[in-house]
Amino acid sequence: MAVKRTYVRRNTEQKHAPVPIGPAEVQRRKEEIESKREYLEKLKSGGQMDDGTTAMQANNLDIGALEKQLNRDEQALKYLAPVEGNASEKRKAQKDFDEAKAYISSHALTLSEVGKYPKPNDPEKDADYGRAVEKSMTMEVGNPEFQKMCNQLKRAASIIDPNDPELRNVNRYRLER
Amino acid sequence: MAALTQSNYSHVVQKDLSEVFANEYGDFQSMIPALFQTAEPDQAIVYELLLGDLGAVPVFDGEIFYDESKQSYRKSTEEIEYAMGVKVTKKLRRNDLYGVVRQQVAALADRFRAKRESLAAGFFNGAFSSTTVADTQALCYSAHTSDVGGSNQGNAGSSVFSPANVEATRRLMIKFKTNRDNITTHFPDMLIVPTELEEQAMTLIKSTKEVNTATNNINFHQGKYKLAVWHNWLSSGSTAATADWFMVNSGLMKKYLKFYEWNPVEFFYAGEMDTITSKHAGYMSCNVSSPEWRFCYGHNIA
Repeated sequence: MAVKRTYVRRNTEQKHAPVPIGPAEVQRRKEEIESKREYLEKLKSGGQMDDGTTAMQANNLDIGALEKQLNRDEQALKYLAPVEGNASEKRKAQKDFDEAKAYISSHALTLSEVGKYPKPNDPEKDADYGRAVEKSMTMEVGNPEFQKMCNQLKRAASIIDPNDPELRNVNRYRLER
Repeated sequence: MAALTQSNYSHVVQKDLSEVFANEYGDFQSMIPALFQTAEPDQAIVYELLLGDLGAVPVFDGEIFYDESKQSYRKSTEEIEYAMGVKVTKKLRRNDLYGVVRQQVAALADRFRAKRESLAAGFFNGAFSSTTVADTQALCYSAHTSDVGGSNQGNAGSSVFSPANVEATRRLMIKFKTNRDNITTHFPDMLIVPTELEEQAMTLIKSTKEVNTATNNINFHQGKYKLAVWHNWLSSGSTAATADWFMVNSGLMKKYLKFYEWNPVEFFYAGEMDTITSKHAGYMSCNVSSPEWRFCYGHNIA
């Protein structure tokens, strides 16, 4: 899996390449894995936990499944965590990023449309809401190409700067009106 | 000469600790029963099998057409055990004037509660990456496959929570097809959101009349969805503008989304003679899984 990862993560054109997770999610998973790892070690040794409680010794506990799951979690994190690209990869990613950003800006609901609400007693505003739903159906939520471009943007952003959560924030590229 | 020891009479000296555990644990309102079907497997590894749908009913021309359906993807889920305990020395117990031991046992209950909740929420937290369903793709993915003749379908989006996007997502979910491309008869009826979206979601579905308007019109979305706000454990984005959200079909979700509980949380204790300590421990074994993705449509914004 690790070998595949090297290929997939650097290639933003890869059709089914996984979208790297964001920096906040990476941090959350790292903490979860650390906590699980600590728990597993304490299970093996019966040592004391940080909060003063003591983990049981795992003499009669099958920890194989837990170890397997932990290994899977670590592999998944390696596979899904964003990795900053080198200069050439960044140049390529920037091109993909700009293309996706332009597509998203021209197809996503505007911030004004995002705030539209159904108003049955106000035909004009109700029609605005209806148009926003139709636009979302044809250009955003119901448009498979939009999702592809969002994924392309997230992949490219993670190569350009894996630590910037705002760069991959699709919502940021909506137009005002 | 035989002596009375704490290990032989641990119930007498420690009986209140079990009550503390029960009270602490019972106080918490878990989201698990609301979203998951709890199941008690009878083997360490559970296999879930998706079945191929039947085809469309043809016109009867004097001879009955017998359809040939077959099994679809299979997914396995393995039992994982969790255990943790506290040891209390005799001296501490005797001198514990401020109820520290009781608090520690209560903390033990909290830890188990947190572990269960985090395991369950982890299913949704990893929906766009590590939580996989029977076709080996992520739970929310743009090209779920079928091995029984159906076309690829997606249930992942990147759209912010808004009335128009909620309605568009509902329409897409209604159009989901079975694994042989038949029309489904299940419709979405629930929104699962993190704390950041609670207010927006409440405004969207709970208000009878339209908000922020002088005309006070009827709210189109009112009563359309049940709302599940998973505080703390559903971690997805730090602001409402980046928070992930899910639209689900609660009936279908309850059918497929399982919280496997091989051993429910148990609390037990024993005295240890050699060190004159008493041990209090909790134990459970559980895991979560769903072979099916059609109950859910997720949006991952950032």
